[in-house]
Amino acid sequence: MRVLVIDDDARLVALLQRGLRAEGYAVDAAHDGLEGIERAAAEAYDVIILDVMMPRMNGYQVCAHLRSTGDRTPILMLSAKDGDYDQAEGLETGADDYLIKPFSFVVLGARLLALLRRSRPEVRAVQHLGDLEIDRAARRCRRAGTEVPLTGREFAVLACLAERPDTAVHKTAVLDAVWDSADRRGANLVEVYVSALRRKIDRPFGRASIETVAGGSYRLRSDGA
Amino acid sequence: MPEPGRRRTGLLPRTVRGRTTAALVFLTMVAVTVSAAVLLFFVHAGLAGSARQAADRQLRVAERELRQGASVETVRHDAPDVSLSLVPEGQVVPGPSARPTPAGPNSGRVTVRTDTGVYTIEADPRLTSTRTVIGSIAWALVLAAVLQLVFMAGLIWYALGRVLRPVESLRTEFAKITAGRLDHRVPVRSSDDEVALLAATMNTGLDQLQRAVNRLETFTSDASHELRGPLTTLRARLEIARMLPEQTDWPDIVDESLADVTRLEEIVHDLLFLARLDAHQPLKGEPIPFTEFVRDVIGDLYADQPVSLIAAAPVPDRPDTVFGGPSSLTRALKNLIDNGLAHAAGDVQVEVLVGDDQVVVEVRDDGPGIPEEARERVFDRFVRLDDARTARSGGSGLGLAIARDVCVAHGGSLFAREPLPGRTGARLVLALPTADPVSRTGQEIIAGQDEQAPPQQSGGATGNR
Repeated sequence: MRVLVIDDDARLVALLQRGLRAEGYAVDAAHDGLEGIERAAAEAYDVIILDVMMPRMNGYQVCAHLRSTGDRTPILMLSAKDGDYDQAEGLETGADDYLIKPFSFVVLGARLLALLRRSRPEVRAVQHLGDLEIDRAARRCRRAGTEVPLTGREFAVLACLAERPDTAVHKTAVLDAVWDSADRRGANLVEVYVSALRRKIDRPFGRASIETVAGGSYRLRSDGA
Repeated sequence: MPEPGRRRTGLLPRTVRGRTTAALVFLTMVAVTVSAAVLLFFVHAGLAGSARQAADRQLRVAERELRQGASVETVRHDAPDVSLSLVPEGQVVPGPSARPTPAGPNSGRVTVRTDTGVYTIEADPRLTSTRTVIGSIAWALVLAAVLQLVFMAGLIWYALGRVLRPVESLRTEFAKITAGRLDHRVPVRSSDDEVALLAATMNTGLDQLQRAVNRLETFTSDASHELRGPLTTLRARLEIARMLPEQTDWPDIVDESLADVTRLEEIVHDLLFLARLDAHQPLKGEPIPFTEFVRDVIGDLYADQPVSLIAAAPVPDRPDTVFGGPSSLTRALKNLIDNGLAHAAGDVQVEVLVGDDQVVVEVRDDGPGIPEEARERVFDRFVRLDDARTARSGGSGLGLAIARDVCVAHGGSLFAREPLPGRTGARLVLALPTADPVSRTGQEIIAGQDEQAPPQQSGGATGNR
């Protein structure tokens, strides 16, 4: 899942990047409205986190501009303004959700997931592939009822493959979905994570659910076997 | 529906209209009663007098006729208002009336001795008719007075209603204006009367109230934004650290969190200071030799920083004593110098100039300077001209606002001016009135107006109002 954070507070952006990456998101950052619009136009994101009070171009303007260009990416607005009219204005300009600073990071994560679920209904919160259970809300994975501890990145790769079970997903697509643009060290990064996943969810249970497809793609079997 | 606070008390009418009408009717009633009494008194006196005169005239007629030997019947016929009493000759007339009395014109009683005996004739004015007349007049007066009073009451009630109608409509309009609808104004009639003046005055008051409320709202919203920023990073940092304990550099977290807390502390401190200035609480004042004071501030706080002082030695006949609060003035100076240091490329110059009745302190830096259109706006609260918040050198955004408020509270001023010829950078000019230290010792300075007019109307700088 690719997230774009647009906020002028550099320290908050760094923290959000760190926290969201740990949750398995690929996080890009923009430090003002104009940069945010450029980034959103250049790349496809699954969700945009947008601060309201920014120099040069505020969050409402950014949101209105994105919507006027036909960008339908879900937008989660962050603001220190807690007035009723501020929230209403945010939602009216096209934001999908509104979170008041200071917010709980846990709530932020839950709201992001909710937005993703709404915009992509095929991504269910809990997905069962045979005896493989993927719980996106809790970021947990179980195999035959046994909890399999995964790192955030491993989970993100698994979730990315699980979005399209029985379909070949190319390494670059996984790369785009899981890693942010500043942190793409090549397709072999995906290989590293896929082999780690196989070591955790397949081999101990005698399965081979992640198949390698010729041409640099992977496929997750829908029966999980 | 009785409105709260306008309840009836006792039997007195509650409205101005009712009270004024009642008072005027009562006063008229008193006046009418007094005049009626006076009138009746004089009418009665007049009628009684003429009755008595008539009786006296008949007395003379009766006396003459008796002396001429007329019969008692004739006398009775010619003088009906006179009572005749005959005491036959030889009998003693009892009482004082038997005594022969000299015939005076107004004695009211005459004794006439005739052949048949001694007659005592007494004038007996007919007062019954007088009483009847007085009674009728009195009744007529009462009737007239009642009618007059009723008519007057109606007239006054109506006239007052007409006069007070604009006041009532003003009240209705004014009642519609609530805290949420402060942009509404009461209608001002085109006439120049008291009601129009009242409406205009109310509108002026509403203008001021609205400005104050807007200022407060902006300030509150800005203050909450400023406080929420550090709180958000603080909370996110701690939550993420708890989420990823093994990837966390705990000493780093503590340092950064402490930095956030310090920042929050600074903002809260500044906000409270401003609130105190806004509340016009008196600052503790004492005479301060200002040149020395500025030198001490720079020496104490900026000893190893590029801050230079330009000041002439004080001249005895030109005192540089300022009456004020040392801590608040230190704060103002510090804010100006900090602002200079934050933007200076090289150094900050502080120049003290002692004038005839004021001390001027100029704080100049060699940074990018303040654009002309922003020279007034920089004194607004929470205004930062650059994205300083990102770079974390922004401070609370209250420094210059505090400095100006302190200066104004001391009767002085603070403005941003164009740089000196051949120089760049901001030039902040602070002026404080000098005081005779003897005459003002022990006084308190009350923070004056918190808004001062800029010296010249600056074009686009409207601040955050």
